[in-house]
Amino acid sequence: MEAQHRRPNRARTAQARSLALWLAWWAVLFVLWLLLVDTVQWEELVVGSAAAAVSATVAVVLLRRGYLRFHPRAAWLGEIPWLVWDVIVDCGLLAGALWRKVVLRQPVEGVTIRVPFHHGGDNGRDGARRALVNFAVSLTPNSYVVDIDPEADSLLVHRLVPCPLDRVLRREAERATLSSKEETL
Amino acid sequence: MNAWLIAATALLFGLIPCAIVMLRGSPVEALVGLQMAGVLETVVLVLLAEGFHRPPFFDLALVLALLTLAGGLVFARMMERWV
Amino acid sequence: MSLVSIAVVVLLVFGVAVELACCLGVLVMDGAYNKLHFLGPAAIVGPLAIAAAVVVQESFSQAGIKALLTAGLLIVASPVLSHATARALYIRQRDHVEPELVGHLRRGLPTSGTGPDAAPVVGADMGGPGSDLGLGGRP
Repeated sequence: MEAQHRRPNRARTAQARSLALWLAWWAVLFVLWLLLVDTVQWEELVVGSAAAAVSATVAVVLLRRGYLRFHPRAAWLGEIPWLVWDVIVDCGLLAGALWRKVVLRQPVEGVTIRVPFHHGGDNGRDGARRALVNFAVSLTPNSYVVDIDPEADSLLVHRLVPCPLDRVLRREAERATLSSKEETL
Repeated sequence: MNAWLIAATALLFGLIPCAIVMLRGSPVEALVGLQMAGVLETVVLVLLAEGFHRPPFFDLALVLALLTLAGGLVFARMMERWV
Repeated sequence: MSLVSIAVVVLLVFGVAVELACCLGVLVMDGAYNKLHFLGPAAIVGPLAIAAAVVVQESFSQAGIKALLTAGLLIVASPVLSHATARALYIRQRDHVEPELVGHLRRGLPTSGTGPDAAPVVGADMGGPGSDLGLGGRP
């Protein structure tokens, strides 16, 4: 009897979540439309509303059916200032490498390293972590991800100028080492 | 002639190294040259839009940025096995 | 010359210099793996500087907003393209489609430890001789 009550409640919660998601997508896309057309004439508002509604519907359907498994944590936004700093530092490293190559005529050869990386499962949270770690490492000019190896639980990263691991790679390597220790225990 | 058009002209010289890489490099090196040329041309279009005081021309730069991304991904995928 | 004009010229000169330096980097660096790094500053720093110049000149009008959107799109595209291109090259080398090692022999560079398959492992608790590049982060 209780299970029968729980099922409609779960369905209502899922519907409410889908509606909230749809509204969030619609709002973001509508704002993007307004930024692109730069006018508030009623015809543009109607067309923009309709276009945003269609796109929001497609987005929610894809998410509900599991084609898009991307559920990041809001706390990850806190990494952005560190990323900006890393980009600035890496631009300096690349400038130094270019100076050594062009002016000093010294050879500059990048190096590929394999960094332990906990691949995780096929869920939205781990998928978002893989995608965003890949994005963050490849955004900084001195490094980019060549391959993610799920069997070896590692990232193949190419770096032009050798230097200590940046914050994202260091954290992921520590996490991978911790999780492999837990598995052996 | 204004600063924007001068900057756009200066940037066009950047296409010469990109062309050298595309002509003389391996297929993947040529793809890198192509992507660099795409980024360069996007910036040139922004400069021209501002230099000629034509706000609608910014849409060209926006579309080229999107096409550089999409085209680069298509080429990269093709180059894994089929080129 | 007003302050706005000076700021615009400084930003334009900086943006153009970064773009041209990155083009030079793509030309002079050996190998696609090394060339790819210079896509980063070209797609992030250069367009941001140019977009900032447009915003300084036009404020947050249609032109300024579209310039910022274009720069934002390039910033998002750059790591995606770098990874996709590097992965394509890695798969070509792994499947022997790309003779990068043969190219290295021709240029007289050492073949050991240059390809991704000879990659040293770097870990959070690894130190000592394996990480002589100083890449092992000690906890």
